[in-house]
Amino acid sequence: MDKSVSSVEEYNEIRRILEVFQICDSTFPIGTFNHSYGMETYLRDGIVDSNESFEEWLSVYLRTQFKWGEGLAVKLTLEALDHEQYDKLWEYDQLLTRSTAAYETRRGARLIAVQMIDLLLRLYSDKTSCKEVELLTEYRQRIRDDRSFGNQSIAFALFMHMMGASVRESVCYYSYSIVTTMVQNAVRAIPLGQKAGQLILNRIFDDIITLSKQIEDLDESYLGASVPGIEMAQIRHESTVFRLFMS
Amino acid sequence: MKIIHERHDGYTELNFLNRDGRTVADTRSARGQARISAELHMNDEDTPVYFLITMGGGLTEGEHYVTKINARDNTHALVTTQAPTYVFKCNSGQITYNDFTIHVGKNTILEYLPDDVIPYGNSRYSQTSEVTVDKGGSLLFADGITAGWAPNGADFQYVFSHMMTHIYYDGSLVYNDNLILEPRNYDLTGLGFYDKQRNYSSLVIVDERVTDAFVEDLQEQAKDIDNAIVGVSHLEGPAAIIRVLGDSLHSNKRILLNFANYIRHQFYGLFDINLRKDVSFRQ
Repeated sequence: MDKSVSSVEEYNEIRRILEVFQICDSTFPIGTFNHSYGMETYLRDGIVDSNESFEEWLSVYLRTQFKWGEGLAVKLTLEALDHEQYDKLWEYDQLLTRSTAAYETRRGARLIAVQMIDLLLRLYSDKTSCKEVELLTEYRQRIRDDRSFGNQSIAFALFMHMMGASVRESVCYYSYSIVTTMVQNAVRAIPLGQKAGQLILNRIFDDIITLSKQIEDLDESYLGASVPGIEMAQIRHESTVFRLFMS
Repeated sequence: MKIIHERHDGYTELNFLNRDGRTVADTRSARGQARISAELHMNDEDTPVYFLITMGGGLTEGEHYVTKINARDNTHALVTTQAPTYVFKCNSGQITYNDFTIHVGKNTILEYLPDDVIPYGNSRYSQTSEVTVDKGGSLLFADGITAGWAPNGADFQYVFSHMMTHIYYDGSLVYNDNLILEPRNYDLTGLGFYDKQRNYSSLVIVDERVTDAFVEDLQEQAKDIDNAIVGVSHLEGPAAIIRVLGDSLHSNKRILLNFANYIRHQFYGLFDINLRKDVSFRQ
């Protein structure tokens, strides 16, 4: 009896981890491979042109705009869900989008969010009684009605809440999903060697764990903050003539 | 990050109204360390121009300045500063606050074109701007911060600068500009921050006539600028932002002023701004 219960728990725990892996994998088809978050502008300017300079860009992006933006949005969304303050989700969607100066970055975020929500709803269509699934359905409708813009981080946090994950876990896994895609994009675009990419990915884990701790101490007033160069590169990408990425 | 203060070390209130077809400043109140210039006019037009002045030449540690500008319906005014906003050293660890509330009525033009902020070594600066534009109002809003000043000549010697601007048009948030600069935690000269430049300035235009085509027009003009990194983007709503990362305060100012002048010609049917303030403002 005990043995069978423990094996059910073990099964469920492994199943849970595999499901999180699936959503975080760079092959999860939500179109993130189309977006460079402004990195391509630095590539065109010859500033990001090597393993070292790509790693520097990635680290700065994570420790600034990502931390105060999508990273913080994951935490705030999870907390709002814990407190059943569902309208907060739509407020964060607005604030995050309206803090983003670059038009393309806002449109990119919307495209990715729509694809992520669609796919999550297909995968979890049987969980109709689940509050998170209900909110994902509402989010999709709000985006269709132009009442929300759509941001992947909020959809991801809804999924992680459904999985019962903590803030630290969720922020780290979300960061992983962004970083692994960015490394794959850099492998294609710069180009980097696949092995060099994996070394960068492994090193950047330290940044991810640090920022997940810092995010715990941030409140709403930081949401959407940025720094000059990261944002400028995203703005200027719009006017780039030859492009590999959509943003 | 946001703290409400009752005490002010400098308080400025400047309200405009339309009286018999002309824009008149009906409230011009300056208390503490704040002053307002006499009304001035540019050569070619009636638009009243006011310079905001800080006595003592800058903001001293722990001081709190409040500025309120209200351009009511059917007015046109230009407000600038006499000099850059120098934020002096904060050796006791106190923060210097500078808060702005700006309102633009309908069928009104407000050109708010202050000089940049220059944070001194060891300073701690917090700036907030709450800006509301009524439907049919037009706003030019400039902002900027340099690498600062320090006795040893080194850049980014301040402790931190947080500058937050909320701009609303017709009741909706158009843009939340939340700039966090912490030289002690990040190498601000480097990649992703100032990208080896020393001055960061912005101009936001809020106006019903800001369309995709107009933004593309500004983007085309930005391409011809070779002495600075310039970006132009459409914000959420009838608004656009022009950002400049450059080597020189004067050239940044010149670039933004050229855009402001272009907008004046296109939208307002007016001539170039000529404030006779310093070399950067001369043609």
